[in-house]
This record gives sequence, C-alpha cells and structure tokens, in this order.
Amino acid sequence: MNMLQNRYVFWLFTLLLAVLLPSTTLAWSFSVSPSEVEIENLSPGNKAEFKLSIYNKESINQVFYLSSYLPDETDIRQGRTVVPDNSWISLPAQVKVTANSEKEITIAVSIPQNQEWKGKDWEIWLGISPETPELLVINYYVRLLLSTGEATNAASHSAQLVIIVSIVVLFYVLCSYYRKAHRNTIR
Amino acid sequence: MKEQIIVIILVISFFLVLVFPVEAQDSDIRTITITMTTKSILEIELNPVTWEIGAVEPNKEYKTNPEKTWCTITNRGNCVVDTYINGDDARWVENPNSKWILSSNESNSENECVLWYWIAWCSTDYIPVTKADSGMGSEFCIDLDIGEENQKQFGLKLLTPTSFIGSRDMESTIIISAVAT
Repeated sequence: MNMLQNRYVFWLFTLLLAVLLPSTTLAWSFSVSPSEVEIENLSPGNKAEFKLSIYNKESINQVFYLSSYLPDETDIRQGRTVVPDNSWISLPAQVKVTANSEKEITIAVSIPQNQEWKGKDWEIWLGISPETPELLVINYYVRLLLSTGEATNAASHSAQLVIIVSIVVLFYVLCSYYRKAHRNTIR
Repeated sequence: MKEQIIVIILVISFFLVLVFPVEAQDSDIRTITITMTTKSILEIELNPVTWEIGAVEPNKEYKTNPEKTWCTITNRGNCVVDTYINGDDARWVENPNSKWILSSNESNSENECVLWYWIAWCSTDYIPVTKADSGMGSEFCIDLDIGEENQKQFGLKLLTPTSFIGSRDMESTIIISAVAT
C-alpha cells in the first residue's frame, strides 16, 4: 500500500507528458468523387470496372489507404443487402497522390459464376483515408450499389455450345448427302 | 434419305429458333450499366485537427478550449453526409506497443483513459468516444448538410489513466467517417 502511495505521489508530482499531437494544422484537405456508384446487370461470372478520383488539396504528397467495408444492414439503402464477400472488389491497398493533384483509381468488381448470385441487389462501401499523424482523421466511404442480372455466363455458354453442335451436325448431314449424291452420279 | 435430311434440318432449325432468342436476351442482360454521379463530391473539413494538451497528470480531466466549440466540422462537398466517430488507444510514439487503452465504459484505470465529445447546441451530455475494432464507430453528426451555415462544432474531454509511466509522448487517433446519405 505504501509502495502504491509512493508511486502515485511520484507520478503526481512528476510532470507527465502526454502530448496528443504536436502540430496545429488543419485536417488533411482531400476530396473523393463520386460519392456513390451504381452497377446494374452485372451477371455472375462477369467483371465491371469503374474509376474513383482522389483529389489531394495539400501542398505535399499524400498516401491514401483504400479498403472495402461491409456496412451494417441498417446503414445501407432500402431493399439491398450487404455484398456476401468483399473479396469480389479489387482495389489498391494504398495510393500516393502528389500535391495539389487528382488521381484516378480503377476499382474492379467480379461476381463468381454461380446461379445463387443471380438477381441480387447488394451494397458495399469503399473506404478512403489519408495516412496522417493528426488526432482527428477524416475517412470517406463511397457507396457501391451492385445489382446482378438474371442471366449468368454459364447460360450463354451453354447456348453457344448448342449452336456449335447444331452447326457441326448440319455440316455432317450436308456432307453425307452430297457424298451419296456424288456416288449416285458416278454410277 | 431426303426425308431424313428434312427432319434433321427441321430439328436443327427448331433448336436455333429456341436458342437465338435466349442468346439475344442474354446479350441484352449482359449490357452492364454503371451509373456514377461524377459531380457528387465527398469533402469534409475539420478545424483544428490537433489538441495540444501538453503535460498531464494521472486521473485528471482535461477539456478542449473552447470546451464545446473547439473543433468545427464543415461539409465542403456537394452531398449531404452522415458522419460517424471512432476512437483508438493512445500509443507511445517511440513504442506503439505501449499504450493507454481507450475505455469502453467511461471509467479509467491504470493505463486506461476515457475520451468524450460534446456537440455544441446538440448534445445534452458528454458522449463517450469508443473504439470499434471493426466498423466505423457510432453516429456523430447525421444529415450534415452542405456549407458553412450547416457546420457543427464540438469539443473533447479526456480523463487520464489512474497511473501511467510519465515523460512519454502519446498519440491517438479519432476517425470521423463520412458517407453520402
């Protein structure tokens, strides 16, 4: 108990330094556009790409971290559910944007080829935040609204297969017919 | 033989009649539409972003100055946003493994601190800033409209741990997340 008291008194009278950040700057000034992206009719098995712009308004180069984020169901648009797997979204983990300039980032969305993912309305958020030592940090979320079509690549592949088989059969039949006709002519 | 050929051709034609509309429909469905409102911009300004609290003593409260209007949050973009707040442990600059845990129950202890915020003219009490390991934290300013006329002001309050090792520069981060409503 005595030791604890001594320790407390020691720390109480020792100047304890807890500097919650030493500078007096404003927040990193940056913007992101667009605030929302909507992709419709993306069939399972297909891929779509779009671009996001990050504008670094500071006079020094800045690194920004990007990530996909699965929001709570209560925070997303009505009639939508959260994307089942955020690995379907491909985006760079970080980008460097030079001072007072804008950078476009390509984001890719790939839905696995599965009948289960037909006709869905999903939402996922893309997070963008700066690398900064400040106490207060801004993080933007871009809403990505994703709707899958009723068709899949598998359906169109099978249709193509039927067409190819039909053409082969037709070709075979025509060849047989002309061969037979040719033989009859010779006789 | 001729009859056989006619039957086969009819069967193939039947297949093609069935398949081509399906294929055409698929082609139509696979026309991906990407809608981007390119003019919609997310831009939030916080002023200031640092709190020069200086040297602190154990188990003591510190408030920003001005207490409840210390920081101004302004929506400089062109869409209304919802904002969320998420705190984190304070870490020793020289060794980030050494930290003050951010309390989740508004009580401090050894190496455990408490942080609150107060939104001017909105809050009726200090609201704790907590740490959400996964997620964007709790609601902060909802429906933050565009422009200076809609800006909000807030202040912070810190309760230091009951005891801690002194003479260390501690740094912490509070993330304010913004998403279009």
